[in-house]
Amino acid sequence: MTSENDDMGLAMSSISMFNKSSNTSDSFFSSCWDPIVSQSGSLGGSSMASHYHLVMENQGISGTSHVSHYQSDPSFVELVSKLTGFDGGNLSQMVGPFSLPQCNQVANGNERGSTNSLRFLDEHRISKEALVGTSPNGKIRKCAPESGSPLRSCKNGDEEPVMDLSSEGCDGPREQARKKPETEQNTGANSRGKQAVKQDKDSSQSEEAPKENYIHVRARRGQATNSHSLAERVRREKISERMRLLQELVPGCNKITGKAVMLDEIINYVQSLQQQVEFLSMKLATVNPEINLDLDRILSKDILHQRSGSAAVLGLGPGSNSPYGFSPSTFPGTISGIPNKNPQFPPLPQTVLENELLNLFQMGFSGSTMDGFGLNGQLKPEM
Amino acid sequence: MKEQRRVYPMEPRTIMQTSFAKTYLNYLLPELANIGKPASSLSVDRYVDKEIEKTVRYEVDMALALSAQGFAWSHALEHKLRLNVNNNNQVGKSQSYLSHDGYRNTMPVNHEPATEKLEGNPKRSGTEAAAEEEERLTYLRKLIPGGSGEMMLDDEILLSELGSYVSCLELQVNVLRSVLQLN
Repeated sequence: MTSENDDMGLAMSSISMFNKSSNTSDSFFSSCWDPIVSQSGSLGGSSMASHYHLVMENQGISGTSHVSHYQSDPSFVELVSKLTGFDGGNLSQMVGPFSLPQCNQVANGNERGSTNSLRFLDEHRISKEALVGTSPNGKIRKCAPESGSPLRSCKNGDEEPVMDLSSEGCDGPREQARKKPETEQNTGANSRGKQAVKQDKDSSQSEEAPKENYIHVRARRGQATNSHSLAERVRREKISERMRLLQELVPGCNKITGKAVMLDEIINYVQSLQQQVEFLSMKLATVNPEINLDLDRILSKDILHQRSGSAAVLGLGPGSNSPYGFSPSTFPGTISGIPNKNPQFPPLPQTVLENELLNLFQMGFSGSTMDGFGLNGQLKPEM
Repeated sequence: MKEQRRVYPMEPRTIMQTSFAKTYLNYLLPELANIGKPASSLSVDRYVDKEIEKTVRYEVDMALALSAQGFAWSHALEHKLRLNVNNNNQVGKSQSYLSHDGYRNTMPVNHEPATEKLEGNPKRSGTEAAAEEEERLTYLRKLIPGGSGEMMLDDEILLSELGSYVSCLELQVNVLRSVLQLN
């Protein structure tokens, strides 16, 4: 069981890296994917979906070793969600490459974004270990308050054993930051049960209350329970998570353990990238007239070979002369990760994709890859 | 159970990259074709070349902004580019959305103190470190388009935006390099 969970854990890590992997350099990709590929490959599409959830909602979990795999992963998703949600809640624009439309912003009093995705995540919690893992150390569990039905079923927790666990998991950390924080330590399922019971009085409030989004934070053992310091701590942790993500993005920063130095590296990297762009742009200006438009088909293959080394060469559509629609809907490869949907490969709506991309999808995709595509092919942010 | 789905985990990233590349080039290549060169290929008119450079640079940046919808920086970049075009702003050699050309020099590079910090120098107080970080964050705000906006004042948001910006820059560099390699 443990080993199985280990596999799942790794797989979940790898899946969370789906979200991340789309925008990271090769080094990160190759270092993380290979051992996990077969495991993740062994997961069906639907379980993949649920693992997405699991990863996404498992934040700040520590304790058991395999659970600790999760720890870095949700931050990826969080980053992605963060990348998505900056735009003042305008979902239609949140379809960039890193977008997780609707992925909730885990932010205090932050009304942007919706909580739908995280609610669905809770619904899919299946790993008991993960839940239990939160208890021993009384770690902060950031669980945005949910008001949807999944929450209710979660709260009731009497549907199935799975839901039971979810209810425990949901209720346990669901302390309202604005109410007086509890310092009660979560020492196991028992305390969880107690929490659940205790929370019942508050439950209705916490259910209704989260029309706004705020974070339920549990005070750590021996730390200040002042709501201010809690919020501050949450903020600091979020910032560190982002820093960690950046650390993964910037090559060669794995050993760095200092915020200032890390920022230095980021600065250098950004500058170097910008210089490269400048340089390449100037070169481009020089050779410009010789570039012909047939290039881009060759180009995409070239890029693929270059970066991924994958044999799955995706041919492009015949030409690039279609009117370029700058709408967000033209961006297909979003790691939308809306796994609550059935991850079969949906028939791509014409309205969503340009024709070329449609060709792209239809070409060179075996059934096995459809799943991933289904997961990532969600464009319309109506979720 | 598909055990040999080694391609599978690569797919999303590849897809995304391809999509970005395609979107990017979809915009860029036609625009570049429109730019063209002056009639005389022997032209040594540096002014014209500079103009072309600027235009190409503009298109390169615009392609980036349009290929990465949904970020604060991409919006800011697009906005800035359009403004610059409208104002016919001429900035130095190549028209760059970067705020100042001398950015390479303005960054205070203090690696030694940072190393000390890594070694656990007890003299380094928390406040100093925080100030250093702030300094760097401020500098990063200058680097990222739209970094001076109020949204970027929030550290979290700034770091998120940086993440996406770095990723997109990487993609852009990759695409541009590929285009040039094929020539």
